Amino acid sequence: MTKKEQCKALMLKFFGPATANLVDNFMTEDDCVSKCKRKVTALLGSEIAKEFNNIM
Amino acid sequence: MKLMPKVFLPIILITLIISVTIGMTISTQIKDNALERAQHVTAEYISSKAISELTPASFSSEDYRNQTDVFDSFLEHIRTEEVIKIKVFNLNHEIIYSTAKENIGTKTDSQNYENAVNGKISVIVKDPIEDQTNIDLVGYKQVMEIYVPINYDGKIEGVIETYYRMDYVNEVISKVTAKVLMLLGLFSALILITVYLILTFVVIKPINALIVVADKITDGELDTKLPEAKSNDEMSNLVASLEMLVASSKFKINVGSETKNEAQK
Repeated sequence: MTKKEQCKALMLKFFGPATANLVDNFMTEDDCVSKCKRKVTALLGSEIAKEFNNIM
Repeated sequence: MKLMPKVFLPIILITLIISVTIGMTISTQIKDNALERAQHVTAEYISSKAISELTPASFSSEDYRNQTDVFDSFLEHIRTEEVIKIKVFNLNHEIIYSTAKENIGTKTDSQNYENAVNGKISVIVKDPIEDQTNIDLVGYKQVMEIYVPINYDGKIEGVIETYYRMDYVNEVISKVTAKVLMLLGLFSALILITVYLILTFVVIKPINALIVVADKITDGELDTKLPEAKSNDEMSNLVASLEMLVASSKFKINVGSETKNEAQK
């Protein structure tokens, strides 16, 4: 799985399909992890955002 | 002011300005082209008829009053619906023939005559006659005077001023211009309708749908179904942001309840 696919799966789980679509259309393979982590940290807290640390 | 009039009114204004500008440019161009064509064709016609039916002597004769019959006959040959009368000049600025006989023998200082003597077809378009009595009297609303140099073997021998009745040309110009303006108007209306439909279905309707959803969410209905966001446009971006805010609100409410429960225990 690519980083984008992993981010998409996590964003779908945390928020929903529209946010997953956001990863697909507005983020790149390089910046998706940092962007998603920032959003999740701000909205759901740093504990949940730790899930992004596992994305390779 | 709502979004639709805010966006649509400037578009209507711009379309109107562009349409009027294009309409005026096209109608001016149509008129110029029609007049230029009329001048050119008439000058060619008069010149060729003069060369075939008159001689250099007809223009250079000292006794030009005896040439009246020659020019009367020439006028009868060239007279059409548009070519209504002529004036003939020799190279000494003298009018040697005119349908108004009292003008014969008088001199002209017209710049148009000078131009014609120098080989250049010269034209003056008279102002249209407005009064119906005068129109009935002279038989036309507007005339164009075309000064045609008459050239025999490369030498100009005289000038024929042709009175060209413009009524028919003006009528044609008006009809063509009206058609062009009508087409332009239809085209503008079509553009405006298209823009209106695009604005309605691509911008206004999705925004209104989002407003309804956002309104429900702010009323506490956090499980309200959000519009689908499958494309990569701004609206999908907005739906995603709303979705994240809803999830965040739900999360914070849950965390708050859990903390409260733990505190109560």
